[in-house]
Amino acid sequence: MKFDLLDLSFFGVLLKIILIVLIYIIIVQALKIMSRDVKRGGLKNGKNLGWRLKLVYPGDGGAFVEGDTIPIGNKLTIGRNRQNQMVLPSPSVSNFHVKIYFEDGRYMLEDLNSTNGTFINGVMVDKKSLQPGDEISISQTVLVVSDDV
Amino acid sequence: MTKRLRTLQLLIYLFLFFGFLNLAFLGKPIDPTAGVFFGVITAIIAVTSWVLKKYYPMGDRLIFLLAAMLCSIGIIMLFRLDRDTAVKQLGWLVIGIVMFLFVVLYLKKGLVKYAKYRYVFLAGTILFMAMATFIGVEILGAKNWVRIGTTYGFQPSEFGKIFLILYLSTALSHITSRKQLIEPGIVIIVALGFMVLQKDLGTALIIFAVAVTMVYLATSKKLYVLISLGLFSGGGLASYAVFGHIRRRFMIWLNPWDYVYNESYQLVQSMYAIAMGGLFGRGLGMGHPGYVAVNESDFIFSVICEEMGLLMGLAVLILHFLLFYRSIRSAIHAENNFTKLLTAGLSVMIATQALVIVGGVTGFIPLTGITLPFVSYGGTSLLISFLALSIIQKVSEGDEGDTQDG
Repeated sequence: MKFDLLDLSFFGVLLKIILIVLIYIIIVQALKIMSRDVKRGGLKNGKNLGWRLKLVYPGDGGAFVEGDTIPIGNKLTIGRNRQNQMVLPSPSVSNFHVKIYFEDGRYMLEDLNSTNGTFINGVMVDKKSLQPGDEISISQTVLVVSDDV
Repeated sequence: MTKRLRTLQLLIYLFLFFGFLNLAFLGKPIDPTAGVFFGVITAIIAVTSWVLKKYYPMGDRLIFLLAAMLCSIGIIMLFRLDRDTAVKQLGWLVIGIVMFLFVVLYLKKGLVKYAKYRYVFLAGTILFMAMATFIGVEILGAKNWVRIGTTYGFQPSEFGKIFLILYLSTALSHITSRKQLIEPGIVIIVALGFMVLQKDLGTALIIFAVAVTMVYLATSKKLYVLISLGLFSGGGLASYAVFGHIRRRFMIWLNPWDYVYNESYQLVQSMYAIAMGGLFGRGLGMGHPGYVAVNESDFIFSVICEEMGLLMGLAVLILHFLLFYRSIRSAIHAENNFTKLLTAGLSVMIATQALVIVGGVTGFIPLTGITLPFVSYGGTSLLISFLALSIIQKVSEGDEGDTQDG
């Protein structure tokens, strides 16, 4: 009986230590997830997050094949005209179709009054901030926003 | 990111497992109810994270997990204190989560469209703030409860807070001139006045903190903050002179040891409890939480410190801080002023509430009776916290439908 009591109290002490250790591991784990923010917070003006566009389906010709990644940089313009950074030589793409740029810590997509419009996740947009995983459709071409640096 | 979140989730299950294992061994013979609790809470967390992941992969799932962690600590403690309270709290948690998911899933088209109900929010604020002054009953020195029938009751000021934040978000989102501040200013003062009349000083303090933060965010003028602080000190001094209960609160705070057996009994017992626990606590079931008054809601922090250790108490504060950081982060990413102000206001509300009550039970600031969000027992409090959390979660998705302004 005496042994049993001792054993039980030892058990209690062990468990309370386990609980405290666990909660701090949880906090550290949460901080690890949050550390991504700190890295982003350190960005100076003129620097961006280094996100890329991944070409999922090339449907408008041009020099691109499936699986290509296109760095966005500070600004990326897409259209049929040769002056664009990303040229999609298809008649259903407007001359200056869309631009994606980095502003105030996030990537913005702005449709440049294109004829056939730009879609993000199936919804036609004029101007919207981008999130990793967003699917951008321009005519036939499908691009996915990726934050793998 | 996803992998780390999964690890975090597993760690929370592990924490719950050891917590309830400990609780199960407190009963003789071993208590099977603890197992049921573990199962139910684990299921709640798993289902909610799954739903959030499936339907809103862009949302911030960390916000929910942090709140769930706080709730888990709260329920473990309540289970130790009183079985019936814990069962009720678990029920409220389920209702809260259902409401949370309902708001997150069904408020599809963004929150912006609610910005036009300005005067509905105004009416709601005044109604709920005033309610308890006229038909309230006095519980533990504050007249802030409304009874429905004989068994059910709720705190209208909790709903009033949400309505006030909604109202301020609409009223302040298009602010251009000083004249437009007059109406929100009057509403804030009326709300504060009712709180003082109901002797609910904690809520008054929260309303003040929220209002000042939101006005500053909307106008970015330090002048208004200084004016509000001036008015607040003026109002505080005036109510100190007029109301006896405020004088008593200050007296207790300044010299708790002079009135150990009378006015400051609660505070002193709470401080004893925290001191007895030490860094690692006495272990669940080894302390004497019975000496601490209202140990299931207002003073739950002291009881947690006694049985689970000061380190656990500190962890509760850190979790609240991380939750606040994460909420403000989604406010920064919000795409229009209304949602931005709304999210910021709600996060400030939760954070101030935690600071005021923890400061109160540890004797840092005069004690005021409010709940520790997510941890304390209390249906209204838990529902309101989850409602606020659902709006924050909604904003963190960044999907707000048509944006109206920048």
